[in-house]
Amino acid sequence: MRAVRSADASPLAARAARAVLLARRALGTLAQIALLAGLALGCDWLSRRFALPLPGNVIGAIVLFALLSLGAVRLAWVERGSDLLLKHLSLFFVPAAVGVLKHRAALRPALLEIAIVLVVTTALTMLGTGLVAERLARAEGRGEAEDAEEDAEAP
Amino acid sequence: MSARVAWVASAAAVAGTLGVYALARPLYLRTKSVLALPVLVAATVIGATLLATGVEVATYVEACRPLSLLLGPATVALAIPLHRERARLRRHARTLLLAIGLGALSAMASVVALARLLALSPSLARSLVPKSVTTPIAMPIAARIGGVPEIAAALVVVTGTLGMVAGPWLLTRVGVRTAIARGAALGTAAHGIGTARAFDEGRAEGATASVAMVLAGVITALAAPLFARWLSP
Repeated sequence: MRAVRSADASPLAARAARAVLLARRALGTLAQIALLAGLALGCDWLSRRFALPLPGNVIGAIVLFALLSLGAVRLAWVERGSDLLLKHLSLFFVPAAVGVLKHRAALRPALLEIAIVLVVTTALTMLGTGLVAERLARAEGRGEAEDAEEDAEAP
Repeated sequence: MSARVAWVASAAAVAGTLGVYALARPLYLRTKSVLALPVLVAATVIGATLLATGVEVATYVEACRPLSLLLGPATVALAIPLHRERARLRRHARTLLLAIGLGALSAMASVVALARLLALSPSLARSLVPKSVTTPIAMPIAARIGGVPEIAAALVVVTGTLGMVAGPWLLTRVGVRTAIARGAALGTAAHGIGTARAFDEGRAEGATASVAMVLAGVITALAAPLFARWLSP
């Protein structure tokens, strides 16, 4: 509201107000990412220290899910940072994927075998999951209406 | 390398990676074509540039550490889609847990069986075990069971691409029509790339796929060490 009123007064003040608002949002998002990073680092340490059966970052996701479910962490505290990271998730593993080139000499003789494994197992997993879920979903036969309702409300 | 040189190299590598990604993303959003998948375009362009210029791949990867470090918080962020879709998860708990669990386990079982049949090298076979799940989860799994995280990362990308191209067609052919079944399959077999494709089909498909991607990641992380025992050390 204040921004609208100052826009009437002077465009410069409006622009400044908008810039402050944007900077605040950006800082908030950064703080949220820092919170997620802290959780990841803490759980990484726990995983190493106690030789836990899960990688630290996966434990971090489970812990955050539990905290959200319990209401100890509010969705609004982490939502913007999370959405930003997940939207560009593939960017963060570009370097690792390029890193495969370090191993190209070792992989070259096995390229055909690798292709066979990837094609066959991906098709099997896709069909297995899809067919089992289709069977069960049809047997279940309910919940579709709730889903449709929920999806209609969503943006 | 002096600290300042390392800093400059880091800035250049991160800026270059960001630049290629930023160019590919709008292209992908407009065309929705696999050929424009940002991760594929970026990895190909950067890989080709490194090979052409003779820059050490290891130097580039090391310089990109600031970018790779964000994989940790990004994995933690996977809790958010799961939390948002908890009502859907509760409604279809039996269907989703069974289908996704069986899917994730059969992904690993089929990799182990084929790897033994084709007599793949132990480190390659162990890098293949987690290839159906999202990269930030697949890399630490690979490291834990004696695979190579970077090989796992590349295999994950190829798996996701295959799933995105052939998945919807395959599912339609065998009569998988329900939104939650299609979503579960795309998320379990093709992680984030399959999930993006599922969102193109509809919101129910996409939301289910994001649940499947996270659950399959956790199940795979828990069970991968057991499957790795069936591979020669």
